[in-house]
Amino acid sequence: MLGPLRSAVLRHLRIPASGVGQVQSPISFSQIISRGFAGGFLDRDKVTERVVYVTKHFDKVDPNKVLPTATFDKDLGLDSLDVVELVMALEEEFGVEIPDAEADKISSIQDAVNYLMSNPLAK
Amino acid sequence: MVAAQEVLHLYRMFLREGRKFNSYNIREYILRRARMGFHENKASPNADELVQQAREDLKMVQRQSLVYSLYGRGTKSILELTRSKDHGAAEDASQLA
Repeated sequence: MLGPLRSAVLRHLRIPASGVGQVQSPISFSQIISRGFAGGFLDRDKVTERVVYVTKHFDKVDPNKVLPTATFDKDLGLDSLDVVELVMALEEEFGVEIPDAEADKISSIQDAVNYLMSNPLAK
Repeated sequence: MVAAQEVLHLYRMFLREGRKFNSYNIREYILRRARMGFHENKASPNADELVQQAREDLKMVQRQSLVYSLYGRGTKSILELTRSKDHGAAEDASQLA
C-alpha cells in the first residue's frame, strides 16, 4: 500500500556522503606498523647509532675512525676473523642470529644497518 | 687448501657454541681459546691439518655444551655483572655498592 510512496520518496532522497565516517587525522602506515608489532621495524638512525656504538667498543677498532660510512676491512683495518667477531657482537646487540650467507656479505657499517633494518626480528 | 669460507664458518660455529655455556669460566675460556687459535694460525702453512683439528674440537665443544647444559646452575659469576644489556658501567657500580 505504501510501496509506491516509499519508492517515490526514496528516489528523490539523497544523503550527502561527505563527512560521514571520515577519520579526522588518518593514521600513517608507520604508526600502524609500530602499534601492530611491538618492536617492529627499527628507525634507521637509531640502528646506525647502535651499530656504531657496538663497533666503537670492539677491542681492535680505533673509536675515532668509526663513522657511519666506514668499511670494516679498509677503514677500520679488520681482518675477516675480526669481522666475524664483530658481526657476532651485533647479533648479540640486536638479538638475532645472522645466517652464514648473510653474515659473509656484511663488510661495512652500512651493510650491517641495511641487513638489520630488513630483519623483522631485530630489536 | 681449505676455503677461507669454511674457516670463517668454523670460527663462527665456535663462537656461537661457546656463548651457550652457562658457566662463566668455561664460556670465556672457549671463546678466548677460539679467538687465540684462529688468529694465531691465520697464515699457517699447514692449514688443512689445523682445520681438521678444529672440526674435531668443535664437535667436542658441542658435546660439552650439551653436557654442561644438563648440569649447569643458573647462578652468575660476579664478573658477569658488567655484562648487563645497557652496557652501563655506572649502573653496575651502583649494583655492587
